[in-house]
Amino acid sequence: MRPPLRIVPALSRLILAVFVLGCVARPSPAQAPDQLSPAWNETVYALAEKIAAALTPARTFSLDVKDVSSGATVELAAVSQTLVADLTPRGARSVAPPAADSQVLVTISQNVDGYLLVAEIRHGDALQVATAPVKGSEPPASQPSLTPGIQRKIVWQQARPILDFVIAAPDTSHEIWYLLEPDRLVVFEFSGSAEVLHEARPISKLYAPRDLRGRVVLTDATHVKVFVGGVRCDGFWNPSFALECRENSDQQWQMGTVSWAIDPSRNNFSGAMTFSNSLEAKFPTFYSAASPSSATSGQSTSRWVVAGLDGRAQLFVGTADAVAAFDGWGSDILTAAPACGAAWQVFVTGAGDWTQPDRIQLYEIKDRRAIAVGDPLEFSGPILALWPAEDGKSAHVISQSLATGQYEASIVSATCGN
Amino acid sequence: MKLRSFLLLAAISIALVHPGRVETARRPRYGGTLRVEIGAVVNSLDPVVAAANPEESAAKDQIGALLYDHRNPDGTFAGVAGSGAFRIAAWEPGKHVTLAASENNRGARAFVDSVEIQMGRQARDRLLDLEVGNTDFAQIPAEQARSASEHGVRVSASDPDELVAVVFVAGRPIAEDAHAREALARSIDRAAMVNFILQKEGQPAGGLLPQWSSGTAFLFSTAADAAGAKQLWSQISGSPAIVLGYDSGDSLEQTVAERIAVNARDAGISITAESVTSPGSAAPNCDARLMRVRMPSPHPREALVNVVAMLGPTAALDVAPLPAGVSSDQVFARERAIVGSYRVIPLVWLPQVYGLSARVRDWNAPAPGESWPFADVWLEQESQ
Repeated sequence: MRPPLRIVPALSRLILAVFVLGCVARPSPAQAPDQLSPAWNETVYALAEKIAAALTPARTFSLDVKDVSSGATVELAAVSQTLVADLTPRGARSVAPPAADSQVLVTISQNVDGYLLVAEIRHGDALQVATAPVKGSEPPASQPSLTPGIQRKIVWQQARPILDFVIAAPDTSHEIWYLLEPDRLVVFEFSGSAEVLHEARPISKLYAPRDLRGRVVLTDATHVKVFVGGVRCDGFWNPSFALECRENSDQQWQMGTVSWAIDPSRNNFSGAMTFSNSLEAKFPTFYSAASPSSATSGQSTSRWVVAGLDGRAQLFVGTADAVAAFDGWGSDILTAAPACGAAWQVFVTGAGDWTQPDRIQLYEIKDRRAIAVGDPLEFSGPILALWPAEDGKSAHVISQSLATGQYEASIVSATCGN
Repeated sequence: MKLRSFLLLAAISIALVHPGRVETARRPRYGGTLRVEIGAVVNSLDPVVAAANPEESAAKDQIGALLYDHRNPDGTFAGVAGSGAFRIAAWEPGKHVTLAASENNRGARAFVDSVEIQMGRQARDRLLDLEVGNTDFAQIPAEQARSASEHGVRVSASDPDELVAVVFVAGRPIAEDAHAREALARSIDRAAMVNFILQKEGQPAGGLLPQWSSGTAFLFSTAADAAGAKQLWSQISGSPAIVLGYDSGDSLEQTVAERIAVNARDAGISITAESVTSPGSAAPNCDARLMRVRMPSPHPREALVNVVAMLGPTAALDVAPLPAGVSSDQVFARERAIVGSYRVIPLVWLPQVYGLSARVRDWNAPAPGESWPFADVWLEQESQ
C-alpha cells in the first residue's frame, strides 16, 4: 500500500501543489525519454535482469515496447532506452530485428495490483516470459487548467479514510497538521519540508453511523476541538499532544460562531442551530447549511440555505417557510468568500452518488435565485466532506479518487479571473 | 439568565415539483426497504444444513454474509445470526426472507431499514419485475444483460470473474490424447461465442485468469485455428469421437456446448454434446465437461489456486502448492503449464450482472470474494 503523501510543505508547495482552476483533470504529460520515475526505473532494471538471463547464450536482441494498459503515464521510448541501457552492461546488444538472435517484446500491462511489465523473449521457437510489477506507481495526476472560477490545491493523499483536516502554523518555520480519521486523530509536525513528528491519538465512538462525519476545529495554534458522531474531543499540547474525548452530551458541533446539532446515529444534523447571541433556530433536518455571514459574525438568522435529506436545497429568509428551493444540488454546501464582488456565493457539490465523479459549482444567491457562476470544479470521485477552512475564506474538501481509491484532502477557494 | 428566543421555522415541505420524479442527494439517506429477487430456493439458513445445489449454496452464502459479522478461516460463518448488518425479521423457508437492519451492528447500521428477498424467481420474471419497478435488485444472466438494458433496466456488471471452460475427464482415452485436446482447443471460435451467445457481455478467455487480474492474459491466444485443428485431428488413429457434457439445467452451457460442436465439426472433429442431469454427477460417458468457476479473490495466485482446486480432480491437474507470496512469474508459469496441457480449455469470461431500480444508490458491484453490499446501498426517496 502506498504511504500517505503530503503534497505541500514550504517551498515544494509551489512546485507540487496541484491547481485546478475550474475543471477537467488531464493525464500528466509523459515522461521525457530520459526521465523514468524511480518506480518505473526500478521495474525496468528488474526486468532487464530477467531478460538478460533469458537471452543467454544469445547476445543480440531486437526490442519492441507496447502498451496495453489504461493510462500508464510513461513513455514507451523511455522504457526502451532504459532497458537497452540496463542490458548493455550485461553483454547483450540491441540490433535491428533481422540480425538479432532473440526478439524481445515488452508490454506495459496492468493487473489488479497496478502496472506490470511483461517481457516475451523469443529465441527460435522457444518463448520465455518474464514479468515485473511496478511498485508504487503513481496514478495520473491532475494538471492546471485555465478556466477561472474555483481553485483547488490537493494537499494530502492517503489510503485510509479522512473526515477532515486542519493546518496550524505556530511559527513561520513550523506547521502542525491534524488529520481526522474515523477512529483517530493523526498529528504531523513539519519543519520546513521535514517531518519531525508523527503521532496518532485514538477516538472512541459512541455511535458509528455508516456514513460517519467528523470535523476538526482549530481553536488556536496549539488547541483543537474534534467532533465525530456523538463524541467531542479537546486536543492540546502540554508539552506533548494529548486528546481528551467525551460524549458530546448536547450534540452541538461548532461551525464558526454557530453550532449545529448532529443526529449522532445518522449522518445529518437535526435542524437546530444555536447562534453566538444564544438565539436558536429550527430548520428542517439537513446535511449542510450555508449563510452569507455566519462564518464571520455568527449573528445572522435571516438568510440560510439548507441542503435537506430529500435532495433539495431550500432558502429561508427570516421566515418559517422556505422562499425558494434549488434542485440539482448535492448534500454539501458552504458559503464561499467571494473573490469578485460582494454577493453571497456558495460552493455546492454535485448530485450523483458515491460511485460517480463529483464537482463543486459556485452559485451566487441573489433575489431568491441561485445563479451558477463560472465553470464547475471537477473531481475524479465523490466529495465526502466540505467544511470551512480555518482562514474563514476557503473550504476543506475530502474526496476519494475512483481511479485509485485514495482519499484526497484539498483546499478549495473561489478565484476571480485567471 | 440566559436569553433565549426561538426562531421557529416550519418543518420541511416536501412538495415536489414533478410527481413521480426521483429526488437526488449525494450523501446517503437512511430508511426504506430494499426489494430483492433471486432464482435460488433457500430452504434453510442454518449454516450447518447443507444446500441442495450450488445455486442454493451461493444464495445462502450471500444471505449469511448479511447476517453474520465475520467468518472462520475456512469460510464458514462465525458467531450468531444477527451479529452482522442485518437480523432475520421474517422467514418462510424456500419462499422469502425479510432482514431488518441491526441497530447495534459493529460495522455501523445499514442505510436501509430492511431487505426483502423473494426466492425462486425465474430469470424471466426477475427481468419483468425490474422493468416494471417491482423489485430493486436481481441478478441477471450475463447473456441477457444487453436485452435487459434495451428494455430500460439499469444494469451493473462486475469485472469478468467467472470462467467457462472445457475440462477433459482424466482417464478417458480421448482425453489422454494430447493431439485431440489441442485440436479441440484450436477449433473453438471464442470471439463468436462472446459476440453472439453472450451478446458481447464477456470476454474471450485464453488463460485461467482474466487480464484485469493477472495482467498477462493477453499472452494467451484466443484465436480460432480450424486448419491447425484439422491437421492435429488427422494425426489421431482410429475413429475417435468426443462426448462433451453440459449441465442440463444451464441454458448458457447448452448453447456454448452446441457452438463448440459446430466449430469442432467444421474442423473435422467428431463430437457430440450431451446434457448431464446434475453438475456433480459422474457422467460416465463424457470425455469432457463444460464447467464454470467463479474467482474467489481478485488476486491472481488465490484465483489460480481455486481454479486448480475446482477443475483439478476432473482433469488431473498438477496440484503442487502455489504458496502465498509467489511472484507473478511463478503464477504465470503455472497457468501457462495448465493451459499448455490442453486438459482445460478456457472459453469465455463472464461478468456478474445485476439489475437495479433507479432508486438504489451507491451501488458498487462486488469484487470476487465479496458479498452483495446491501448494507452500503441506500434508497432514493420516491416522490409521491
